[in-house]
Amino acid sequence: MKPAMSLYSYGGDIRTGRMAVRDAIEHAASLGVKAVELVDEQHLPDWPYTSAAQIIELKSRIKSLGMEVCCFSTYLPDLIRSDRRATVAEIIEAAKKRIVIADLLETRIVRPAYIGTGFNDLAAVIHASIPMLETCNLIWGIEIHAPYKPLDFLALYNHEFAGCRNVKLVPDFSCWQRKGLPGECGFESVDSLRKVVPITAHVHGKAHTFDATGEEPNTPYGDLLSVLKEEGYKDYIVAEYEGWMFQDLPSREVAATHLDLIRRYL
Amino acid sequence: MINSGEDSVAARKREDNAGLETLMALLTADAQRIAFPTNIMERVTAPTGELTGLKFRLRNTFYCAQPVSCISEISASIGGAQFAADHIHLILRDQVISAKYAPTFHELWWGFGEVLDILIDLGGSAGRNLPIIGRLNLELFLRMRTSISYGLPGDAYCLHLRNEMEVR
Repeated sequence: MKPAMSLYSYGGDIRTGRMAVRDAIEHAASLGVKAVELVDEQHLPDWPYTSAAQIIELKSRIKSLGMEVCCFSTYLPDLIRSDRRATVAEIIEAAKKRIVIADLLETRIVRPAYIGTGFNDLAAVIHASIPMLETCNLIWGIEIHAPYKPLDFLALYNHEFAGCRNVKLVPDFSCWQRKGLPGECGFESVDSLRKVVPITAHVHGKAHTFDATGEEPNTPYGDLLSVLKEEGYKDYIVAEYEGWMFQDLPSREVAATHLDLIRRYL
Repeated sequence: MINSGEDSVAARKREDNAGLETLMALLTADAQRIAFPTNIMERVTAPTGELTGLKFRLRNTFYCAQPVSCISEISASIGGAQFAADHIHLILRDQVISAKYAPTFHELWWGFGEVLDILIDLGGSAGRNLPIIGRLNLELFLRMRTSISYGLPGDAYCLHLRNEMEVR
């Protein structure tokens, strides 16, 4: 299992202009990780009109610091228009655009956030995207995120994508936040993580707060990472701090604390 | 196909609305902290020197970028004078949009943390008697749609922002 950093963790300082995306990349590198995760709407310049040149420059900057892009997280917004929901056909086109960007970033995982009106829409979009995923040798990581249930996504996967090497799952620890502290508490049992590990391609180590010992009091990191290890998970787990949405803390310090927490249980 | 019709996903959203609304309450409270990059309200004048408007800066406080079409309602109160959307303009990267048409601008995005200008048109009766000196209390109301569904009622949240502005 390999630790990495989601640049999402620096959202508080990037949003207020105290840090640039470039600063966040450099700080992640200084922490010794070998990969970063990018989020389209936060980190790609001029989104959604980012040019290929801008994407290549961003990737080159990351590679020049000895890192790779471990995941390209993206949204497939279907409520952009105020007069109607985007059609599934429009979402499929948007998904293909994101896959091309992920390919330019030379990542292995693209995580498009999309539910539409339900799992039927999601399955339709992924099925239509599989040929391009195959061409680009990419994995569509379906994120399992609170309030949704891991076993619902496992059922979806088994029903629609069993055996497909271009579609996997991305569990987000929000599902296992369980003390009701500010966050996105999913209250799931840790055993539900065990069931999805065999088809997991990437993990979001979500956190909203840390105590004086560096633990995330709402999220059982020790238990969750034990499950990942016991089940033989070998890929990246990113530190994805989200507490910046409602408290103003220095991003660099929080990112370092979060990464220490993950490394403590590797 | 699985879960035909309204499936477990929609049901799950409803079940979790209470938690989500708590999170959104924290998020909107935090918006007050970062929404105004400055406390300055600029006087805008016509070439004749006539005062025509007031301008201030506003940051996108959401956790990601949003199309301008997500600004579904906006109104302002300055020094007690009320201004509806037809007296409010958004200036985004030098593009000037009447706020009343914002819901139609789905190809123009307000970036993550990006700062735009709000221009209040003082024409008409609303601002006629407004004392444009010193400090004025600003109240800004925004109803923001979300560009993906989080299960919020109407797929929207509201911001009630307040700040004391120095007129220059």
